[in-house]
Amino acid sequence: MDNGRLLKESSLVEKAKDGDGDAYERLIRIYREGIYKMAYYRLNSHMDAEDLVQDVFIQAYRRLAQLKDPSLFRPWLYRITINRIRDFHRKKRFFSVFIRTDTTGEIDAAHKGPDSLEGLIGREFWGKIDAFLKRLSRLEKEVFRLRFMDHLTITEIAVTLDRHESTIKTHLYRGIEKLRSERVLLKMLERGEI
Amino acid sequence: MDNNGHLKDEELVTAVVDEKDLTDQARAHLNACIQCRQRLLHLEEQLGRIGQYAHRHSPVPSCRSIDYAGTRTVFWGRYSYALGTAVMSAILIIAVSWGLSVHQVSEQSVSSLIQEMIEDERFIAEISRLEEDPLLQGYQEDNVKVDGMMDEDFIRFIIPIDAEQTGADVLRKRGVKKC
Repeated sequence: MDNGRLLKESSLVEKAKDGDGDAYERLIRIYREGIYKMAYYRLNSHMDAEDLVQDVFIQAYRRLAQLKDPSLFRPWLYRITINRIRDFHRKKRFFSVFIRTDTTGEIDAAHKGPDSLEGLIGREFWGKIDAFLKRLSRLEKEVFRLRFMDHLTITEIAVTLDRHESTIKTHLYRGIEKLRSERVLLKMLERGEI
Repeated sequence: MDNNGHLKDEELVTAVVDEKDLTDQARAHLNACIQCRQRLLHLEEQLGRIGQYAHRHSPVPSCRSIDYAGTRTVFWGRYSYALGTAVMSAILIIAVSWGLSVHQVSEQSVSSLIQEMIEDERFIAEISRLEEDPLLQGYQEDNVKVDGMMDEDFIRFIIPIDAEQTGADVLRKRGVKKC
């Protein structure tokens, strides 16, 4: 993120902290898609991702006073999102004891892929990515997603996951090493088949 | 560096993570070698495409307004039915388990009452038996041996009924004269 944009966002955060609703609305417009995509990549459901975006921005607004450094708004927001996703999975697991849900049925049609060519390609892509991510440890998977799917920097990932930068680098290194053994996925990415 | 003087694959991965983590020699080589620079670029492109394709093959968020100043949380709103079911189930489980335990206690108390009654009956029977025959079994056997001698007069002789009736009186009654 360039310095001009960062300064502008920091100023919006400061205004929102002072109770400026318009400033917060602008922050929502800036980050809405990123937070939605982040949630979607982890929940595989459009409806759940939409609900989670609502929850994240409500919670962020309530806790805005706790944010000391406005320049860290982005990783701070991503951290809230990660925690909400964890809560979501936890609650879903708890409720699955009482209500039998077909988890595969909840996966969004776009993620499974509609029957169009684009949909089939999308399904192929998510199938390969999900299979690869399953090979990674929990932290490796999270670091990999944050770096290459959510486009966070190493420093931002460290703030988001509350870990030291060297730990993030180690897990990212391991994740990339494992990807290099995924010949089929790499070929797909290389040929631009997706 | 490998045998050909180029960066190893592991060094390329390190460069993808953070170029500053390379050794000075490896970094200098990477800056000078077009081949290694292209290999790095190729790997970075492959990794970059993951994000691009993930973005392409996922839906776009709706423009639904966010009531950030509100107090309602979406999750509990959506899952209030499930939460209600969970609470009701928990109450039902507690009630049933409590009812079962009460039932078990009452069954236990009835059986213990019956047991007590049986023991009471046995105890009363023993008391009755002792009233009729107070001697224990061992003493009864000794008693049998001397039974022939134990007529009423002999007993009265040994244990006078009243103070005036002595052993001599008894003998007199029987017609035995005192020498």
